[in-house]
Amino acid sequence: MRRRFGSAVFYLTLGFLVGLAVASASRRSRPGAGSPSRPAARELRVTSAGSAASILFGSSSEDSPAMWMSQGRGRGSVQLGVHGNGFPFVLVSDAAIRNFGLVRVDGKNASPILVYRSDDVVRLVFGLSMTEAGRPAFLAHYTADGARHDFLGAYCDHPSRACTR
Amino acid sequence: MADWGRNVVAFFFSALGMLAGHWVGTTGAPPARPPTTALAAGEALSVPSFTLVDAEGRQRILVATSREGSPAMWFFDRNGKARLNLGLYGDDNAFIVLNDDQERAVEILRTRGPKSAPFLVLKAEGRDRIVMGLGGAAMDPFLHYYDVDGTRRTVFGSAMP
Repeated sequence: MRRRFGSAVFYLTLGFLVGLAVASASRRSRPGAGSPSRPAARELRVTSAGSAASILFGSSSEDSPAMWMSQGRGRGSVQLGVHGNGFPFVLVSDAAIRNFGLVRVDGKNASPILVYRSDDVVRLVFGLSMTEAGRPAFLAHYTADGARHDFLGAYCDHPSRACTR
Repeated sequence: MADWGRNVVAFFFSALGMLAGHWVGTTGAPPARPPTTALAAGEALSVPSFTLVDAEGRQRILVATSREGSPAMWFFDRNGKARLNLGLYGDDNAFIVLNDDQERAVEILRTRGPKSAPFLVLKAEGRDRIVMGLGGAAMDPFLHYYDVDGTRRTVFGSAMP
């Protein structure tokens, strides 16, 4: 009985050490544990001395990779990255994001879209259809009072975003 | 019979030990911290590449040189697919490329040629569908789009990409 207990402890210890070694090896092989010459981090901020300008690489509130570039003091900014649903975007805007140019991919067709907004009003949308088969091209522009003019094709701009689902 | 019993004990306790060891190694210990480099004020970090990882240790942003030896940046989705890529081509022209979930280019904003002519290309299923930019000797604006059957339509301008 005593011998069997000793044997059980031995095998338990041996198994524990093997399991620990396997876990340690798998942790080391993860990306992120890079060598000092190839650093990996959760966030990187690039600043310049005597300037409010900065670049930030990190995760967005949607837990997606993104980069923010700004000059500070209420000026414009550039943001680029991937939305939580996997669609990429590039946004060039003023600090309040009331005026911007946006390049993005959206909708069930993963359609490329280009949007210009001025004073919080979308003035031009250009791209491939997010809803129609064959993804025909469209170009819609808006007057300052919001009236839409389809210059080319048809743009679905339902406010519920039904067109992008 | 005694041998069989010993084997069962050996197998059972080894397996139990391995599971416990693996659990302790993966969850019991503090998570691996990414390496940090302390920099003095004003000092620059110079490295051949930089990787931004998420909480699970997945690569999400990579800053490195491309196969053409030019600087570039890749943004990855949760499935490890590069969805956004920007940088310089081998001829020093700049680009921004947005990809779909199969890493196929969907939207390309770039400069082209020795005059760095600006181009915007929108694609579907790997085919060009809209091409807009400046081209020709006078760098005139143009806008072409392609029907579903591949026929090219010119909205204005005539420069070919």
